[in-house]
Formats: sequence, C-alpha cells, structure tokens
Amino acid sequence: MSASAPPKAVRTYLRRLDAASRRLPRAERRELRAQIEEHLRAGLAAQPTDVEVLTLLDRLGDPEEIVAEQYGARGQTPRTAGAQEWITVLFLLFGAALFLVGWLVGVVMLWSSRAWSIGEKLLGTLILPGGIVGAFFVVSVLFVRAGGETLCTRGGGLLHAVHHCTGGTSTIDTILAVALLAFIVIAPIATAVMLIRRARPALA
Amino acid sequence: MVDESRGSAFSQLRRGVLEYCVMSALRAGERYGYELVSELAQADGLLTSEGTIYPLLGRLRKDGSVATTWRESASGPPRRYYSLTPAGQEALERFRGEWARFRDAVDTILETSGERR
Repeated sequence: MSASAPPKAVRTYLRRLDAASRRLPRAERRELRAQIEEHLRAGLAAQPTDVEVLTLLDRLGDPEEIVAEQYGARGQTPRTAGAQEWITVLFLLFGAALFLVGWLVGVVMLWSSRAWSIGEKLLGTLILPGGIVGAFFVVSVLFVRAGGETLCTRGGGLLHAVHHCTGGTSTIDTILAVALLAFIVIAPIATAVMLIRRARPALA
Repeated sequence: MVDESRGSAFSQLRRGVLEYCVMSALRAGERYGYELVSELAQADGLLTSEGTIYPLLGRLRKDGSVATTWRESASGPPRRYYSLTPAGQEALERFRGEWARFRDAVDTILETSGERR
C-alpha cells in the first residue's frame, strides 16, 4: 500500500470517515484520520488482494461508528448550529440595520462563542463588516454618487453607476466593478452559510 | 425502548471497561496502533469494531494516561507508539482492585438470585 496508490475501497472508506467527522474539532479529526491511515498501512501488504482489504476494513467497522465513538468518548453528541449560533449569524447579516449596533452585537456574540475557530471568527468579522445591510449601503451610496453625475448623461442604472464611480471607461473596468459589487453582496451571505455549517460543539 | 436503553447501558459499561483493557495491554510495553488493536481483538466479545479503539486512545492520550511517541518503522513512514504513563499505571492499579470487588459482587448476586428461584 505504501508504494502504490491505495485501493479504491480504502479511498472510499477514508472519504466516508472525513464526511462523518466533519463536525469534530479539527485537532481530533486529524488525529483520528492519521490513526486510521496508520492502521491501514500497517495492516495491508504492498499489493493487498481485494479480500485482504475488505477484511481489514470490515474489522475496523463503519467509519460512522468510529466517529460516534469519538463523540461518545467526549461525552457529547454531535451538535449542529443551535439557536445561539443562528442568532449570532442573523445579527451579523442584518444587525447593521439597527444603527450598526446590531452588527456589533453579532460580532461580540461571534467572538465569545466556542462554536467557531479563530479563523472562522475572523472571516465572520471581516467579510464583510455590516453584513448584507452593509452591502446594500455600499451599493446605494454608489447609486447616489453616480446619480448626481449622470444628470448630464442618460440612464442611471447600476452599470452606469459603476461606470462613473470607478471613473473607468473601458469594458474591463465595468466588468471588474460589477464583479466587485457581486462580491460585496454574495460574500456576507457565503460567510453566513459557512458559519452555520461549521458551527460545532465546544471542546470538552 | 427497554431493549434500546439496555443496549446503551451495556455499551457504556463496555466503553468504561475497555479503557482499562487498553491500558492493561500497554503494561507489557509500548505498542503501535495496529499491534495493540490486533491484540485486543483476540479477546472474544471485547471489541464491537476494531476502529473504535482509536477514539479511546485519543482520549487516554488527552487525559495523560497514555503517551505517544514516533518511531521509525522498517517498512514505510514512522509509526506512533502508545505507552502507559505513570498516571495511567496508577489509574489502572486502582481499577484492578475495584474491578475485582465489583466483578465478585455482580457474580455473587447473579448466581445466588438464580438459586433461590
């Protein structure tokens, strides 16, 4: 197994293990995977037969069962995002509508929570400050500014707004500006989805 | 419902006892994962599946009963070896005494209540 690529059954098994252990704290997840990989390496010859591979995997047991034991050993059951995590994310997304204070509440809740890692908290804070409300604020400011300038030109749609704000005249500038606007709107939503999906139980 | 709760009570018991079986297997000296698991798997009825030993080893390492060291292996990359720490040794000794009393008590109850019927 060490020289050649791992057999297909082994790769499938490890994929199932990864999927099942997604909500474990990162350090535990890595340790568990390394242990299982070592077990497989030690238990298989360089060119194992299918029967040898399947027997070894069978004796190891379902990856889901192993992960359940990991939770059992920690005395905790897997927990998905609970009410507190949902409220935190909603404050981050929409809280800025309450004179920005709501967003700050969201940030405080985010940083005092144990459901997220430092990296996730940084992402949640920085992408993007003000959440979806901040995004709309930025977009509308662009509109107003461009609106003033477009008095002498025709129209006043988003493209024109972008055009004038960036001061660009080329199509590339326009495309870049639209991409930027799309990012401003999509990024906070993507961050919120990520926070909800990755919320996990606090370390015991 | 009743069967379910009994099953989970037994798996709790098994988990609690298994921990000490793992430590006991390490008394003779350090082992790498596969070696240790194969050894424990030979005792009939002890393990439900071999892989569940690993979460247990991770927890024992975390609470300081077991330590890990890396050693070169003749074939392939280094392996992590598990060994019993002094704290683990102490916990194991305490358990051995308690277990003997507990086992005798349970056996006595199970046997004598059977006789009365």
